[in-house]
Amino acid sequence: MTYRMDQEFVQAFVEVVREQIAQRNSVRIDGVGSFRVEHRKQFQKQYDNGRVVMMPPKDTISFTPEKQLQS
Amino acid sequence: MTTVNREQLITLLAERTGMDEDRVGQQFAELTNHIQRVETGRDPVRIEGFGTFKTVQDRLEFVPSEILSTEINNKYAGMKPIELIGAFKEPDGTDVPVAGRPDEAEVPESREKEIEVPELNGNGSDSPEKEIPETESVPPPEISPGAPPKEQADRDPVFRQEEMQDGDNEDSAAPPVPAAPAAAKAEVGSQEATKSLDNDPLGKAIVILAVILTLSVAGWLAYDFGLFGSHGAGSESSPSPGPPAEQQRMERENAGQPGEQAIGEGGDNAEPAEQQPEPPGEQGNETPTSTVETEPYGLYGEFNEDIDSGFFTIVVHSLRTMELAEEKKQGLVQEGFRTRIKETDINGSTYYRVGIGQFSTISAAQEAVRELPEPYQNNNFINRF
Repeated sequence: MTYRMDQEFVQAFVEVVREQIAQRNSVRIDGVGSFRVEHRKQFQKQYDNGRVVMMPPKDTISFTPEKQLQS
Repeated sequence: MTTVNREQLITLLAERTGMDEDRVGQQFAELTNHIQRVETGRDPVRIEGFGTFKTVQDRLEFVPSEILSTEINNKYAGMKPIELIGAFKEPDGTDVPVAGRPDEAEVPESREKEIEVPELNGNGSDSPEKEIPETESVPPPEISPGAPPKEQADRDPVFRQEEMQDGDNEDSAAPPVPAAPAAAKAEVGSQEATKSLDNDPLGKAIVILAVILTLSVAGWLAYDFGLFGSHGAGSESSPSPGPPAEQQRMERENAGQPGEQAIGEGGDNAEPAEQQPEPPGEQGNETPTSTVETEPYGLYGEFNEDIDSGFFTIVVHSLRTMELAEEKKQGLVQEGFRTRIKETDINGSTYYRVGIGQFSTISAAQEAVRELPEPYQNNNFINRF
């Protein structure tokens, strides 16, 4: 592991990206991918044993990797 | 919702760290390089407080850390799955339970039949054997009733002779009389038993079948009615989330005033003199305000300047001008809250957020929200200052 990055920088990076995502902005990082918040509605879930449950709505982070990287 | 691209990100980072943009750009490239390298090297990269990058089938994936995902999800944090008993089953799943249940129910029933019938036959065959000893055991109890008069007679010498005579007559007369019917009964009983034994295989089997059928039909009906009942209730989706909310409220109230309730109950049971401790108890709920001041985090007291950033707070006002924000802040400070104003930029316009309390975690802040007085109780959000 070659860590030539400042710990301070990584900390700031984390905070900035977190803030931007929390404001529902999407963040694109060149060469890596983009982060954005996705809302998932509440939904019904039926277990095999017949138990039916309503799962709560949820906001999640979705990450889309950049296309070049998929090759 | 806007997209933050590389340039904006670098500007923001430069502001945050105080480095110049070139250096930030360098560091930024370093970081992206690092993440890209992971992609080929297949070693997950973990960034503290953010998440993990890893490669799954040549595709970069990101798993947010728990802190980040709860922060993003804070609007719905603490919501748990709600059990829907039989509700909404019909649209997609009627056939499944209806087809599934009877098979499950009938298979054990047929087994029960096989088991129950031999058992009952066994009882039938036992019964004559049991009744025969009974006839033998019947006389002794009848003798023992005869014995007490003798004891009484021993105690009372006056009545001894008469009772002795009566008792003798009775003792001699009585046993044969009941013994004969008992024996007759025994014979009849055994005959009946043999008769019932003869009828057993058919009659009892039919009875058992009828019982099982009625039971299963009753079960079916109960199941159906239960289904309809809950379906009727479930067709309105709002009631089902309702109870948990009420429970939560109850829990809040219970959590909010445990001392008062306990004291109130105690006061009812005990003498009125004991009700005097009540005011101290109520004050006890408020006293944390003074103790909290010494703690680094909390809702009330003086703002802790040592924790200047990176704490969570409950934003209760978001205003366009600093003057209004200051005004609100003064009011909140007088109410005893730790208050802090923060400037934020939302879609190009500046807002001044007034937050109360300092908390190390979102969950601590959420807990504090429950204690808030009414105007803020339902109109707030948790933010990181």
